[in-house]
Amino acid sequence: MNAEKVFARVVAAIVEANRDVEPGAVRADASLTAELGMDSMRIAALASELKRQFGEVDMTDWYVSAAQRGGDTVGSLVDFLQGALAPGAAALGVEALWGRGQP
Amino acid sequence: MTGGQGGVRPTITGLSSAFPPFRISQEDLYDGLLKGWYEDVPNARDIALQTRVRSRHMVWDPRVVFASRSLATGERMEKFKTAALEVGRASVGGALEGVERDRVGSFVMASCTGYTGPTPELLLARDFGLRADLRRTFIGHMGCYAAFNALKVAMDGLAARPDEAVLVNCTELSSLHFRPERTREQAVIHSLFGDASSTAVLSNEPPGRGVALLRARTEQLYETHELMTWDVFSDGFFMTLSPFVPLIIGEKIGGLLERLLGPAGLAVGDVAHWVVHPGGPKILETIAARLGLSEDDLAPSYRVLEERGNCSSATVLLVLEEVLRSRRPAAGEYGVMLAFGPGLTMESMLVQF
Repeated sequence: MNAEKVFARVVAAIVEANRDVEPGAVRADASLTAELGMDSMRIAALASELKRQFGEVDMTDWYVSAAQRGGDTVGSLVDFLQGALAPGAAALGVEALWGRGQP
Repeated sequence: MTGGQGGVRPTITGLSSAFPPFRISQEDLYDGLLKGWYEDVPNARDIALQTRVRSRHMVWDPRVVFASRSLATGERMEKFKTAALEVGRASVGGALEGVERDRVGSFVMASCTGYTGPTPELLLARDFGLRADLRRTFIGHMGCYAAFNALKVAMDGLAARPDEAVLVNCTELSSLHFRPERTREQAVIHSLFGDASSTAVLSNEPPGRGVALLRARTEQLYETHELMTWDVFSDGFFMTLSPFVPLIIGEKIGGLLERLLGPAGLAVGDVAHWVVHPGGPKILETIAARLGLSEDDLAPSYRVLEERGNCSSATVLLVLEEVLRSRRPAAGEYGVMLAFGPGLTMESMLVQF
């Protein structure tokens, strides 16, 4: 699955898990916690929805990187999912595709 | 599975807890101290109330002690020296009722909230007239899961010296470590932790004589070691707790249980009683979701969290007491004890009632 499709699904899942968020606010460089206001239970709901769509993916590596300051961007999640979905294939890098701040 | 040497298994035959007499409601602590500290933290009151903690016991009143200044580590440890003995004495005394003192061959104590030497279990052993050749072990600084380390030392002792009884105590005085940093993370931490001492007596027993410890399993998630920390600073102990911790525990809990229960021929559905350390409500919610448990399955954990707060290593023993009191497990039923802490470390134990 290419980065655009993964990104679109992630945006839809974020909006589903967090109804306060407008889709336009879900930029590649937006932080899930700091900018989109998601707490750990909302992130858990998001992860659950993503697993439903993409299959059972162990999210631990993303959680560890997301816990670093500035590490929980939408783009980092898309990159992680792409890598997890295509083992051995280089992730396209959603932030490179869309540019910082442009969904 | 059903028995160790001679059909006996290491078994908790006595359990007793004690708390400092001062008790404070979440609202009173928030209004009297935390509200002022966290006035610039968005939704600070919601943070305090969403922990589900309703009241906590503490060795002192933080509204008074920390009203005008923070304390040096030495001042906090001075309080630990006396307060750990007071609450520990009440807990150990309760557990030792009816126990032949000379049979107690080992005493294991865990705490991550204070240090003094001689370590407190020596003075407690002296006070209760335990043997002069008592084997003592003090387990320091491991955090909320340290009851498992203490229980595993006890299990090893019972394997080596099958006729002795072992005393296990966890005493945690988290209220010694209120700190003034005005952050959301510290608002969460200061809304969760309380003080308690819990003591278990173990000996090798045939089935049906208590809570038999059948299997223990530890798993460390080395790559996550920065997500929960507990450091000693010159002005007190300092905890960090990433909001991603419950999510990671959720990812790993299913595999841990497979590896704990599988070799015993059991699965999650065979477990009648859950004895889960209530680190916070989100840990419990995540575990329930991942394992398909109901809120009622975790009611003993929620009750301890609500009435006592997270009392670090003592908490899982408080939950076990609550299970015994409120659930009255039938002989032969299985239970699982779980706790988590820095590492991240996941500790688990399969027990049979």
